[in-house]
Amino acid sequence: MILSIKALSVKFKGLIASNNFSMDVEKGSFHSLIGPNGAGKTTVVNALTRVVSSTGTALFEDVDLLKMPAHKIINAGVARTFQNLELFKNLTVMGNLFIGAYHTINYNFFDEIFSTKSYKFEQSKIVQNVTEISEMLDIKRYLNMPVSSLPYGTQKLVEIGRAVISKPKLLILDEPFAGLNDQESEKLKEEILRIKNLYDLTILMIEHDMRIVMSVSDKITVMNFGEKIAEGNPSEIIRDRKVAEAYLGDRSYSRS
Amino acid sequence: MVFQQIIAGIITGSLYAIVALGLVIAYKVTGVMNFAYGYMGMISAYIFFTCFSMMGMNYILSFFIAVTFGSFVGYAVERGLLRPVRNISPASMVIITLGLLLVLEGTALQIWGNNYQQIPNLLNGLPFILRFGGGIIVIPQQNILILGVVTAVIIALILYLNLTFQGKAMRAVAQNEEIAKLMGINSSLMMSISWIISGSIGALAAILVAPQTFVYPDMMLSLQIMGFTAAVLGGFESIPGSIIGGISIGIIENLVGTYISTNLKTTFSLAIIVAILIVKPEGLLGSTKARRV
Ligand SMILES: Nc1ncnc2c1ncn2[C@@H]1O[C@H](COP(=O)(O)OP(=O)(O)OP(=O)(O)O)[C@@H](O)[C@H]1O
Ligand SMILES: [Mg+2]
Repeated sequence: MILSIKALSVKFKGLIASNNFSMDVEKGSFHSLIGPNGAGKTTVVNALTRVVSSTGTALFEDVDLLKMPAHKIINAGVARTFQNLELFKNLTVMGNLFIGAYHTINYNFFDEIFSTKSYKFEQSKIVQNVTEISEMLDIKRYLNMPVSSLPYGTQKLVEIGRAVISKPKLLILDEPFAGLNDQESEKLKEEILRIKNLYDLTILMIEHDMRIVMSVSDKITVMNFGEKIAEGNPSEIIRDRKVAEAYLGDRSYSRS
Repeated sequence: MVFQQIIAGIITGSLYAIVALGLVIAYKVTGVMNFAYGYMGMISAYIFFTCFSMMGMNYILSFFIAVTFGSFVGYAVERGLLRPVRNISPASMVIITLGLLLVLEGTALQIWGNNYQQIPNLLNGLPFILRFGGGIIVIPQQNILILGVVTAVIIALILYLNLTFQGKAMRAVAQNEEIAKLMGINSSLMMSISWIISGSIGALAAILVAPQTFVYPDMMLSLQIMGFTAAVLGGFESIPGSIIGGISIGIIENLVGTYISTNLKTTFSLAIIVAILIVKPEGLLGSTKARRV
């Protein structure tokens, strides 16, 4: 087990967005978190990455993520993407990937000014990683372009690249397939699976596209109204009555 | 004659530009408009005066002590006064800087009195005289120094922000603090650094302008107002904008002062700037504010 969430609660002015939520993620697994709109999925991930404050515990390899400052989360080995793109819009693709690698660097400002050996060595390592990851995601030709000039689907790839380059153990993806057409979805699915294998990642993915969820997941957790309502492998979830009810009560499900 | 005024405008404008730059870098990273900015610089000008004129240290040493002091003031204000209230009441941070302005003014008055203290130009040689299409342009050496120092600071800052990893990280914090933190960037540290840079630039501007204004508690009042105006004209978010804003105001002000009315030069320049901002409310190079998570 790489991540163990216990009794995670998040309250927003009267609204309980996550209510005593618990969930375990197996090391090396592809774990999906699903549920109707407003169920609290993004809120759980925001709590894990300290974007919102919460109560409960989230043990990640024996350290409690919920007790860490936000800027230490990536050091612990957790990287994520965002439901609404959160790239650094005034930087290029390369600039965004570099910032993703920020926490891996060991040289300091003075190494950089005087261009010391350790600076040159690490710099070349980062450039190598940037090349490798941008080739894998097929975004290499955009490296020197400002991200804001790129189409939506490409920006999503850049965001995944920025998370992957930080060498995380757990990669959290929040609706990576939203807004992509079938062809793009299929391609992204292959890319994500390839990255998962290559870097030995554990993936926690929030996603509405059931075809994708069913085809990639080892395990699925279903949320509704801030609570866990079901958990199991894809075939168990498909047959679960509570899950069907939750989704039938939610019209927006028809969009996926 | 016009050229003489334009050159003079560029010199004054470069001081506006550097003040605008100092304001903008602190604003971009921490979101605080620092109304005490000029007064923080004023304290450093007094430090310079104390080291150089009262204690007889040499010019360069006094200069370094005063600028270092300015960077320390920048750090202390952000760390000690602003950060404690940052998450409680962001709006009150601006009020705190206004209060600080009064405190600094009063402190200077207490320690150094309200006499106009003189500090000399570093370069006192004969002015440069350029012959230019029948006319002549006179440039005092101190003005060359001002232009040189300002240019060096601007270039260093641009290189720092664009080429170094730390500079990129600082821009990331400026753009989106929450996300920058998730990249492992210690945003508190970046905030400190931005105020250290801003504080030392403010000190530098005060020391450069001091030979003209003399050193007294309100010596930076007009430079601060014009620096703010330059920053606003440039969009308040943009470094090139601040530079262009500062230089344009300097030139406009000098031309208005010469050809229209010396008494009205500030009023007139501000009117022109208001007119520009009515046409282009986001400033010359500004953009609409980025959304926060
Ligand atoms: N920062 C916030 N402040 C106040 N309420 C919030 C905040 N973030 C989320 N909420 C509310 O919490 C509830 C859960 O939101 P959340 O974004 O976690 O849902 P979700 O499961 O990710 O939904 P979706 O599938 O639409 O992305 C919603 O009612 C939402 O409006
Ligand atoms: Mg969501």
